[in-house]
Parts: sequence; C-alpha cells; structure tokens
Amino acid sequence: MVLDPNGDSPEARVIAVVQRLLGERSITRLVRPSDDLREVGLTSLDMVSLVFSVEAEFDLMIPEISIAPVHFRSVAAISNLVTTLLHDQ
Amino acid sequence: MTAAAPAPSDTLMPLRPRGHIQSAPMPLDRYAKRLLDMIDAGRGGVGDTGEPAPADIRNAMIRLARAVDVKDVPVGSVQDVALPRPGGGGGGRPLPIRVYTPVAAIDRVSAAVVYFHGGAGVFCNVDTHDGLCRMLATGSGCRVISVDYRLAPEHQFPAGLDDCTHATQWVLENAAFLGIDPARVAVGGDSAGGTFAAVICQGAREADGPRFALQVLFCPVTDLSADSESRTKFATGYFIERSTLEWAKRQYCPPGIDLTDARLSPLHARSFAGLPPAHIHTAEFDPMLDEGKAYADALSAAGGEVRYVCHAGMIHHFYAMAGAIPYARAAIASAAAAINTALGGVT
Repeated sequence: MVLDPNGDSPEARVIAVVQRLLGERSITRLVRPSDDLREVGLTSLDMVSLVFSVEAEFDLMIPEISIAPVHFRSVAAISNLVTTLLHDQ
Repeated sequence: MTAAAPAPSDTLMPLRPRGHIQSAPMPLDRYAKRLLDMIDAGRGGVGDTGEPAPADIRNAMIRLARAVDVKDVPVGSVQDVALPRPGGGGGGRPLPIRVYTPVAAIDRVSAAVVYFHGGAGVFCNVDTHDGLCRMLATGSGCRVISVDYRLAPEHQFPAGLDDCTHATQWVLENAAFLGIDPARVAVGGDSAGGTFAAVICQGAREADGPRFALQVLFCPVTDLSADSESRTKFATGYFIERSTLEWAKRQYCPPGIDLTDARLSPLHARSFAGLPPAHIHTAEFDPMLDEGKAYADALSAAGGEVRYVCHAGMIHHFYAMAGAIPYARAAIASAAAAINTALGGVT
C-alpha cells in the first residue's frame, strides 16, 4: 500500500478530491464519508472528473468492472475501493 | 482510401484506420465504455434533475475537458487574437480566435484549417477543444484557427454562424499576415461546429464567395429537423443524451424557425454540387451517425470528392476526449495526416 507523504488516510484524500470538485461548482458544504454523492450535487458528468481525479490522486487505474454506482456512491465506498485496489497492486 | 466521385453509396465504405480493420460492427471501445460507465455511475443525482442552466452545462463540459482532454501535445506557438466585429455586432465586443502554429510552420507559409468547436451552439469553447486543435495542427502541419464564437441562448442562431463566417473571412483577408496560403484554407468543425463548416461552404458557393480547399467534419449535425434511426437507437446512454440535444435545440433555435433551413440543417440544401472536397468522420455509437453518413453520401452523389471514415466502437465527442480514449489520439493523427495530404502542410 502506498502511503501518502502527508499521512492522510485514503478517506481524507478522497474527501479532498470531492470537496475540490464541489468547490468548482461553488458548493461549499462539507462532505461526510457516508453522504450520498448524488445528493451533495455532483452531476453524472462530474463523475467522470471524479473517477479521473481519484485515479490521479492515488496513481492507479480503476478497472472497468469497478466503475459501478455501488463503488462511487459515497466517499466511504470510493476509499474502500481504492484501498482494495492499492492492496491488490 | 478516397471514394472517387461520383461513387454509388455501396462503394463509399467506412474507412478503418490502420490496425483496426474489420468488416463487422465493433462493440463499444473499452475506454469509451469505461467513460460511459462513469457517467452512468453518477446518474440520478440532484445535479442532473430539472431544467439545466446553460452555465451549469458549460462548466460541466469545461471540467470534463480538464479530466479527459490531452494535455501533452506540443505545438510551435499558440496565440489568442481578438478580431473586431463588423458593424459593431456582438455588442461591440471583439471575437476571440486562437491560432495554433505547428513547429514545422514557424516562420513559413502553411495551409490552414479554420476550426469551429462543437457543443450544440450552447456550450464548449476554444479551451475544451484545445487538445484536439493542437493535435490537428501538429499532425497536419497546418495552422489551425479555432473560433470562440458566441453561444446560445444569449446569442441564438445565427449569431454563432455569423461569427464563424466572419472569422473565416478575416483569415482569408489576413492570410499574408498570418503566414497562410489563402488557396489552401480549409474549414472544419465537430458536431454543431461541423454544421457551421458545412453551411459556410454552402454559403460561399451561393454567394460566389471563397472556394475552400477542404471541409473537415467530425460527427457533424446535418439535420435538426428529423429523428434518424441512430438518433433513436443511441438516444440515451451514449454520452450525448436526446434530452440534452432537445434542450440545446430550444436554446439555439429562435422560436418558430424552420428546422429544414439549410443553415441549420445543411442536409436540406437544394444542391450538393460544387462544394469543396470533404473529409467526414462519424462514430459508430453516435446519435449523429446517420446524418453524417447521409451528408457524405449526398456530397458524393453530387460528384464531390469525399473521404468518409466511420470510427468503429466510438461515441460522440470522442475526438475531444483523447486523454481518456487512446484510440482518439490515433484517429486524430490519421485525420490530420489526411488533411496534410489534401492541403499540403508547409511550403
């Protein structure tokens, strides 16, 4: 598993990514790990940005099979996915 | 392969770029599918409900471009230029264009492509299509001039078309200053920008105007008046949704306008004879597949020289998402090489 130099957990890093995307839409509400991302204001096109941003943040490629609603429903779901993928690397 | 004119439609075969030879339809390209899966994974959120505001879609496309456009295409120089508008149109604001000069053309005269980005006349801009224009310039050896035309609904039809016509005219008149050979100027565009390019060629013919050396159309919209089979078949789940297209049409078209007006739907022109040679690209899984092919067929049947390529496994807008769809890079390189063959690059 790749450790972030700042020691931030995957979850904290995913929250930062989501918060930045929301910030670009001028949405300033704080996202909690269990929040449904569809309800915080992300659009379907934003999901593309989110997936690529998560891949860039963790320097990994999310396999096609994992690009499914269940893995991107919340910050917790995304960080679970990322953690699993990092372990499998 | 170039379909010699006149060509019956059964000889106008979709070209398969090298290394992608197949006669049967392909499944969706895996990277295109991956992208569609991402969009699908985000479907149903509050951000997607209700009538979208133009600013929301514009910003979403800008963010999308940031995620999926190529960012590593070197080009000799990129210059933003503000053109004065004739007669004080556009509220007196200048018309921005972006001039891409490939390394090979620096300090030399080159051919040029005046390029109109897509976006249904409502969204996208020169930035969202920056990677595409860079690749076209570098691959063709031609200067590419990308036009930041006015968008609807603030500026409905024909404002954007007028801007593109004006920019094209300006490029021809200032060819010497730009280092462009005016006899080797093409117009090109994707989606709604492809409409502009096709319409400008038709308009120049009607007005006995400039004779363009080539028209390059990527997934052009050529018929706003009817629902083709592909528009129905790929209505949802193939990047550009029918509901978005319908919404954009309402923004772009003034109420009551005849949708078979050839300036909106160039497939409804009275004649297709006497138009510039055409490179027409379609995507296999695109609502606009049929109308792009129909336009190629119409030009070809009227004796025009047509190079038609249907990109197997591809979706609308693939050419502007080469950072996420590796095939797009190869496809654009091949399209650019064909432009170079048709126009010659640097002289």
